[in-house]
Amino acid sequence: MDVLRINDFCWRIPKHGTMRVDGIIYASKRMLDDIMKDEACQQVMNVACLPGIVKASLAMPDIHWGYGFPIGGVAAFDMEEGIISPGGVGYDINCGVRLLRTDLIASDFVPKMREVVNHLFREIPTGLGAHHRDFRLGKEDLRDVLRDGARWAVKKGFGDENDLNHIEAGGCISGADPQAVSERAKERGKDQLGTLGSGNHFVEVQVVEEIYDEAAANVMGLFPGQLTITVHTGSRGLGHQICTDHIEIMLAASRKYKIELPDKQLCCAPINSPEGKHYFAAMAAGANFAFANRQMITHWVREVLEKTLHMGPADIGIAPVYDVCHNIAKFEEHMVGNSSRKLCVHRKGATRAYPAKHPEVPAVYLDIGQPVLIPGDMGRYSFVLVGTQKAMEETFGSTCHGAGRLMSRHAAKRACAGRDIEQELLEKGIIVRGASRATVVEEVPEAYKDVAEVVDAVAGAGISKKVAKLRPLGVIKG
Amino acid sequence: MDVTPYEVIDHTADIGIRVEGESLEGLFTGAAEAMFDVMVDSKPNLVSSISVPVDVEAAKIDELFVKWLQELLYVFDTRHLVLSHFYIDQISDTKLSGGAKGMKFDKLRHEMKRQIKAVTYHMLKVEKKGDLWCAQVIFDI
Repeated sequence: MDVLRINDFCWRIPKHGTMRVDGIIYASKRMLDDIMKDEACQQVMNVACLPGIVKASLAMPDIHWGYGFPIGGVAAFDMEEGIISPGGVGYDINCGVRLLRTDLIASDFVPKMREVVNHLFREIPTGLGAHHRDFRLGKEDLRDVLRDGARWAVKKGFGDENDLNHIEAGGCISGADPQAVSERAKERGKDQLGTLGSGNHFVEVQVVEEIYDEAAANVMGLFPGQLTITVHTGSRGLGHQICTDHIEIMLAASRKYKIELPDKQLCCAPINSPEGKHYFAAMAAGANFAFANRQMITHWVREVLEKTLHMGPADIGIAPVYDVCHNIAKFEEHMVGNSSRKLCVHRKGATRAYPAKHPEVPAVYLDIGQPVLIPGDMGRYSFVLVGTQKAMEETFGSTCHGAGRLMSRHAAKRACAGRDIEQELLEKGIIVRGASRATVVEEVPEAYKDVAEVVDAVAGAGISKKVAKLRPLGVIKG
Repeated sequence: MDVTPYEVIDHTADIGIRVEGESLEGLFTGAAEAMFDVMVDSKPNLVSSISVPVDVEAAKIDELFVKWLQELLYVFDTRHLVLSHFYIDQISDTKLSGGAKGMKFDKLRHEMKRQIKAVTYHMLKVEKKGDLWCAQVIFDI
């Protein structure tokens, strides 16, 4: 396989064989050597074979192999000739990240951090069958959640209207149809709204350690030493089941529409086919469930801080900076050559990164660009970036989504044998509480790429700009 | 409960299993045991008294294998039943009739290791090698 250098942070796999477009990988040379070790590059090439793909099959620096599409993959498809694929979104539809700012200085609250973490662990439902004691979802409500997303949550008293101005798509993807979601998916989801899930999902309390762009940080309300909180979760069993349901439908659709698949998990249908429309309507509903989920968890984070710190909301000043999806398919306008075209952009483990002045960027951020939230592992740091015009030109307004795994879960377990990971993190000043010991071990920091390297690669490529670095103080995991 | 031996597949983001069986029935039940072992640690000698019938159909044997596991995962996720004692009454390449027995998840008797989001088709294999049936499947964690 030829991989040709475009520049220090951009590499091309020239189209060959059944590829319809090139593969383009954003990474440093050092990262590329790691990327070549698993099947991720092959998956980039496989995606390039799909009908109607436009410009290139893209990979972000946090790429690793997934199902069909790699994690860290971006692919855009023509509306008439192109396809839509559940594998290009992922099982956890609208897995995403929300960053909350406060008016608090983190160092003032370090002595209370254990109490905050314990309280978060108690109040944010994480384990199997867990749910918040004050919340139960009715059938009619679920329908409204799927249609209205975070707007539903705000109407029900979880947060306020202004929160919606700080969420991608205003917290609601239009075109969602609750009836497109199977009864099975609704059954899996109905008791899981307002829960964190496990694996790499978390709520993390942080301190702003470094500011790189003071002007942008000011607009976002970020300052050095500030206490922030990040929520990382998605659409829970509802989204997972929607993907499962539609992979089965798309396997049959791929045969029906005679689409050659290098890999079963690339199963797809033409965007405007009944199967394609059905998937989009269900996927959008799943995405809305995830937006509502993060809105509700935000509300409980607010309550925990107020009760634990004995401070009122005006004094804490907690508010969303932004909320991004990193597993999604959206209809977006992008320049292809000299004309603007509506495309179906799949981001699987990739984040939208729109530039300043883009009409979809919230009014408050029009001068700086859309905030991009990039969580790292629980032992090192996370980053806040903004989108750029170069991202619009090269990657359909997309960038990386996180650190990306380096080590399998099994390898992480072997590496942690005989070690007390919670104690190791405590010695670094980080308090961790996990619902399961296996999860904490499998999420050990060294299992992940260094997110700083990932972020430096996207910044070096010019598809995002660094704004701030956040360091963890306390983490809860499902 | 003793779990039929299985092998863990090293996958960067998730977890896979490789299982073998002397019969197709043994392959399917062994895979189910392995999937639950990936998710839950159970104390020994628990009494599984809740019966769950499973009837699934698919276009071919590997898809049937995935559907069988997906059905069991659905039961776990919605009813919080830790299933064991799997059985297959009838099986062909496209149709399976069987079930499992289990008990409600109980923190005093079970420890959750990791949640499986989905059974995927990634690296999926169901094949006969000599006298043995072999399968591999990846779970999205």
